[in-house]
Amino acid sequence: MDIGHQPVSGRGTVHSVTSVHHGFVAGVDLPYLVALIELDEQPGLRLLTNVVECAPEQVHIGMRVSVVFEPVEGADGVSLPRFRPEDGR
Amino acid sequence: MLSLACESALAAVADAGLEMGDIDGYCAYPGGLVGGAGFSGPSSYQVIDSLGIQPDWHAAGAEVPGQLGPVMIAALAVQAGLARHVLVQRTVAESTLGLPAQSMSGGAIAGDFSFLIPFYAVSPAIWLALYATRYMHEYGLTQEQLGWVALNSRRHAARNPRAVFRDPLSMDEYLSSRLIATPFRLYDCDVPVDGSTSVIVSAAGATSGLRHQPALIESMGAAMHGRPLWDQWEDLTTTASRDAGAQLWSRTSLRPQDVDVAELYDGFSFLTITWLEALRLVPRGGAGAFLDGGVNTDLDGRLPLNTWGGQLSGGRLHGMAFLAEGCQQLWGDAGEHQVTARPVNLVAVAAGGGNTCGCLLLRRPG
Repeated sequence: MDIGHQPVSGRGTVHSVTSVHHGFVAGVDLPYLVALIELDEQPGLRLLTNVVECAPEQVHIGMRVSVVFEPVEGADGVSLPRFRPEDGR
Repeated sequence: MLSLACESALAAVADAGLEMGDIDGYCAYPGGLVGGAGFSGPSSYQVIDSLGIQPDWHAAGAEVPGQLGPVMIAALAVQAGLARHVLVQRTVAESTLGLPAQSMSGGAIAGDFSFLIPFYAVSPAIWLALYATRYMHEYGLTQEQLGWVALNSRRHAARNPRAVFRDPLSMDEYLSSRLIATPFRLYDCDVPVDGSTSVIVSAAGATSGLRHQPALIESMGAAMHGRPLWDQWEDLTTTASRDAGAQLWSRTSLRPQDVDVAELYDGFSFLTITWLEALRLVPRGGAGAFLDGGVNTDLDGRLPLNTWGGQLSGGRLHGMAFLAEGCQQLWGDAGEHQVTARPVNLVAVAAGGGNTCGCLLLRRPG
């Protein structure tokens, strides 16, 4: 089977989101946003990630977002795809 | 923990009118060393050894149709003639040993969790909050309607001496309880306990002379027709319960309106909503209106629901306690929380969420 990585635009829409208020993970600022982002390339192509640079009361289903790669502290060369409100929206 | 499992087994065997030597099968969820000792309970080997069972059939594991999976495996085993009386167990010690924790340290994360943990999505509370948020968006479920799952359970728990939380819970208290992951508040999440539930699944021809008339398994639901991953399930307004529920009704001539009592998993309040709809006990999208105000789900309501207090107030016995309560309701053996406003002839029992879902329809003989 031809299974492999494909580049995508990094743009998408918030399919669902939760604002986490309980300190499940030590050292992470509360609240934080966990969301399922549906990427523009394909219906149902979803990524579980965080929405950043956005107040919890501003985020909503249907919101347009774009990717921001954030380096992982202490892991050289590793970054995670998180999403922020799309420019100009 | 092991002693809890053994005490529970001895009590169930005595309640059935059997001797431990009659038990020739053992099934459990999820088996030892899965997700931490508090979650997994003792291994099947420890329990079998401690009780001196000589099983002709045994199975314990986690990748099954929810916490009722071992009940289904036991039913298939007795039907196939591999055993006559299978002891089925779920034991937890999450009050003293804690819930399973996903570590954030120690380098690379393996498997499916590698798409969840780096984004601090470390708990089923967070995964299911995404489902609940989407459901509220599509069907207009309100926070108060969601809260009625918890309020209903608390009301019933007041009648259950073994429940953890028995004081009344008001809507104001619910709405002012602290947020965990929106829309879930503290009382939308079940309460960790130490406990063990035992059920004996017997072959149809092996029940004469036993203490109870058997609760017959009319049908079972185990189907799973979506992508079996928490974050990749296509329709977040339901879970694999949708497929298990449809299968259950496809294997009986009985109908959803025939159900007298429903015992539906509530690891999180929202899961009861998914089960109410999956089992077609309410219209799709109609669970909120059905739950609102609590009248329909009271002991004398249209559909008494989670009559022992559920896991939200009774304690997180992880699925199997819903089955035990279902059997006791059929037997008229549920004490102060027995449904008496109507005869109990048919009980729907369901456990699980996400991709691990299973359900049973239990009926009186005849």
